Amino acid sequence: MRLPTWDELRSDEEQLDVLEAPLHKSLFVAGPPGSGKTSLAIWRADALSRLYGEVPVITFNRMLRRSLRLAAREHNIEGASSTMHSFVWNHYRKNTNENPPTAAANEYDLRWKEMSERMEGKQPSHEAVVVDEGQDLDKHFFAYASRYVAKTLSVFADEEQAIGQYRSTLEQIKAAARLPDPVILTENHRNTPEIALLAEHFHRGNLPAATVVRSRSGDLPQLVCSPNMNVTANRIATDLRNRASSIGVIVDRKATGEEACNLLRSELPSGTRIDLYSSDLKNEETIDVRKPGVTILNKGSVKGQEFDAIFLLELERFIPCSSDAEYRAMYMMCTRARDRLFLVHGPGPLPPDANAALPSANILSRP
Amino acid sequence: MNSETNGLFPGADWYGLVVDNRRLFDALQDGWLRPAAPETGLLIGVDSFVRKPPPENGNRIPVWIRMDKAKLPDIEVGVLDDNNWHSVPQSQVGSSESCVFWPGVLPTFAIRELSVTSEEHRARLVSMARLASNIAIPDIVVANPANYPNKEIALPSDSLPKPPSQIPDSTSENSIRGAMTMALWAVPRTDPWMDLLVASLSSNEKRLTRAATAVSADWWRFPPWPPWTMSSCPHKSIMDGAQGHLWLAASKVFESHANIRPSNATDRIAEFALLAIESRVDRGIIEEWHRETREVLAADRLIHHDNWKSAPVGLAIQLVLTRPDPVRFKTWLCEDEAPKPPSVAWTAATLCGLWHGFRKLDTRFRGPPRQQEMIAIQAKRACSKDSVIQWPGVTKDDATWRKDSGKFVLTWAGRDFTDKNIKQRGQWYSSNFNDPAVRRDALEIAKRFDWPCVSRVVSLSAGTRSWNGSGALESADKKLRIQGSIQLRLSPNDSVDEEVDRQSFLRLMSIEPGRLPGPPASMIDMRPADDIPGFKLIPEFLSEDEEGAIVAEIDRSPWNSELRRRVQHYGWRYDYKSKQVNSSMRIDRLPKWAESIAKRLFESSHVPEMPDQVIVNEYVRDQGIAPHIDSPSSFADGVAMISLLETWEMEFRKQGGKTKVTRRLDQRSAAILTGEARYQWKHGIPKRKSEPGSKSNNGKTRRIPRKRRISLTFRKVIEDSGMRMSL
Repeated sequence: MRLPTWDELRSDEEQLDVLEAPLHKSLFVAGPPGSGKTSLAIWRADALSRLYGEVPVITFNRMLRRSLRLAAREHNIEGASSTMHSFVWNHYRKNTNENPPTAAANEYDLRWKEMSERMEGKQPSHEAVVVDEGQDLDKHFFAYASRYVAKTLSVFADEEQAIGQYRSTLEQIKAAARLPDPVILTENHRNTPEIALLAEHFHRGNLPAATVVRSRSGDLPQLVCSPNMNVTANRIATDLRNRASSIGVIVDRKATGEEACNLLRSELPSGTRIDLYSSDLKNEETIDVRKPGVTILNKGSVKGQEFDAIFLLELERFIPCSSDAEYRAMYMMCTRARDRLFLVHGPGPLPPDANAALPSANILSRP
Repeated sequence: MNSETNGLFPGADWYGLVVDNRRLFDALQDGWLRPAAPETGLLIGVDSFVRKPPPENGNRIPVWIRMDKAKLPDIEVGVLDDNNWHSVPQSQVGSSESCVFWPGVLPTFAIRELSVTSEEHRARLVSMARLASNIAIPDIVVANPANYPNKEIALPSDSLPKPPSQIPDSTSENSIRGAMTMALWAVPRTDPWMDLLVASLSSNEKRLTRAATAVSADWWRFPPWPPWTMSSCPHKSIMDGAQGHLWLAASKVFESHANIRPSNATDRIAEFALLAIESRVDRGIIEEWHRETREVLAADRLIHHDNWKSAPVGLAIQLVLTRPDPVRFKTWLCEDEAPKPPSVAWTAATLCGLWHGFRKLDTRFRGPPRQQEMIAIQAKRACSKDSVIQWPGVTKDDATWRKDSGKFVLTWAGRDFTDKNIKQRGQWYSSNFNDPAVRRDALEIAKRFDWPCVSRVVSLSAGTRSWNGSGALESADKKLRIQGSIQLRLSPNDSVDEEVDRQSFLRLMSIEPGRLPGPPASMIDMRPADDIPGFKLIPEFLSEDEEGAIVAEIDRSPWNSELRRRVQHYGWRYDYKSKQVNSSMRIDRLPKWAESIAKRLFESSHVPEMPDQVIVNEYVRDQGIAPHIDSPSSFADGVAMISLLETWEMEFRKQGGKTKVTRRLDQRSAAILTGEARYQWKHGIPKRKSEPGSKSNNGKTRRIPRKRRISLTFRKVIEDSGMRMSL
């Protein structure tokens, strides 16, 4: 995880408000991509653990849990991160010696009402807990957490990036967890202005898109038409070899990911990091997305991650967007790139409707 | 509690002020605590804290700072007298004063202690500092403000005109500090690069040119910081070749455009370089570089690492443009697939530091606190030529380096300010090439990488050999001249071997890319050099050819035989009876051979002053010299002793001490005595018939009978009235 400089923190009044917030009160933070939510969450946990000892950090999926753990390890920070699901299971079992009740068909579908009744009268087990990517967690979890998990909650969320089935709005989170009004972060520290401008093209939602604070120092995102996967893999390999950066390759179909992965492995010297991730492979513990190398993932698993460069393949399968959820996904995917963004389609030209869904050449450079 | 309080705040030697966490971090990332605009300085308490009433500032954390008075320069500060500011030197501020107006910025290296009032404040402050990549926060004390000493400070009204700032604060300091800091971080760790680094930080043009040439990095004749920066003069006349012009152009663009896009920077650099170039060939090179670099930035082509010899600067700039964040350098220097040659890596890292500046620089690159202190002071000095501020303990001495306990230790302005571990490559420079194992490993490397430093040597044992052919053969002056062609028939005892030329090998060791192995582990001299602080041995200071030539020259010159051992004097005559030398005893300039050695000793910073006197001592068989210290009143610091013909031991004994420490003075080495070794240790050569040789197979040390050793002692005479000299 790239840490901000003090000048970057200093220039963002809302971030400073979050950083300077007293540790003995609950905290609610909402912010767009690149506003530094995850960093702030980790550092909130760090500060809290200096006062209280271990502070759990809870997030949405296993890839995010992995990122939190890596960041904590890299920066030598105490903090036990878990996915919400495994945290609640363990917590409930510890308190009741029973597995939590779930819907018969789906063990992820917890029966919160029954659980709450069973826990009635128990005291919070921790002084504080930190929750990241709160928008993708069930609102009932927040009610459970504020009653039985911790005396104070620090919750970080962005409802405009929600992609999961149990998404919660800021209002719902606030009410369920009895939180103060959210501090709204408004600045984007991750993307170059050039990338942010492209992402904004897909932005739909109530809040305005974030203000970009990085200076205009990057080059324009590029639309690339590739005749075949060999050419695409070659370009990705060239970028990696020139820059030794962390590259995210986003695909829609698993087969595309596998093909890209095989080609890259044959093209790049052995020892180069090339990882293919999907939630059913459960291989997140072997991947360090921040290291120089390529990580191939899909829409769901790229969430909350950040890369120096993003290659979004199979562009024609993502645009034109026909629902708010699809717009949110494009917005979220484009904002994963810090410095360079390539939208790749092919072999043929983009269908007219897809082409019409893209911004003009002063925002997206075309061949 | 009271005694603890007294323990916390002793004596009259500090200044105190209270700032909030934001101002503290502003200062820590930059190294300077700045007055809030439009103020010209800071109000600080004398042995107490000045705390202005806190404004409404939400959750900010007040931090009590104590500054070490002894680390601040002795400038004129303002003291209150009758509700008026008047100036006194900082050193004269006594504890009877309550507060001082400090006219300018305050260095954070003078911070002695930070304290806050609760654990909650400390937890937040420490976490906040850790989130920022460019802040390292000192330890923080939790204390009760009720216990802080508080003088009644009558704060002057804000309307009272303040004295003007006295510490210049220039905007280019930031990029220069960035460049110097990255240069220090990335400097290739071999002797020639250390020479170039210290020369670039000093102001001796000849020394810099020599050092840059030694590593084939000519463009480093103009480091991107004062006094070398060229921003004010046209570079047409001073540099030639496309690479030199690219370097000057990149230095200029990166220094003055912190936020330029990589593609725009490429255009500007090419444009600027072309302005100064007339040669068609060179213009073509720049245009080609421009096109290529644009393609590299678009991921359309790979960076060519292969042409680093012909286009080192072009490659370095491409690296900077593709990886503008110094953090990326850490990965590519250590893990990258294409190994970077030292000249390219160092040039790129320095340019990257220049572009990035110091303020944003991640703490991992900033070096130890004493380095940050030195660079902060030196960059300020460099950027404000007219400033006469004298920082405590900072002299005008040039930068130098030495080896000590497996490290390169860098010294500047009279202080050791940073050190670097000597790694594989660097260890070759301390290896004894007389050792067969060292020569064997060197040969293996040279052959594996196809380095042009291998020659074939025919060893012939005594006897007669026949030759055939139409040619003719004659021998003179250690040269065999062959006309036409001949065939020489060897005997079974003769051999043809490959040998590595030490000097070329070491040169390539500093220039070639790749991960290279070190010398055989047992051959590295890891003895702690601090047994005798100030003693330094430079093996193979002279080449074999030089040794032969010098001995021949000496043997052609007259010997002085008034002592038991034979001596020759050059530069100044030395009267062994009166043990004196004075200006009438100046003989002449040093002979050519001696002058070139004296110059080499001085220019590579082995001795602080150019030696002007040489004594040649001949030791035959059991001759020696009694333990002595070269007269401190007659000779300056820095005595160099060069050993010719044989390797003998020298014995050292610290004055008043009993332990004898032995040092091997290798044939052709230079032994340097400075500081403690020169002034506090007696040295002598024992009278005996043999010297210890290398260990044989059964572990016993063979003794080698002594024959003849010639020692050359280089010293600088102190030109003073009534010079005396004793031996």
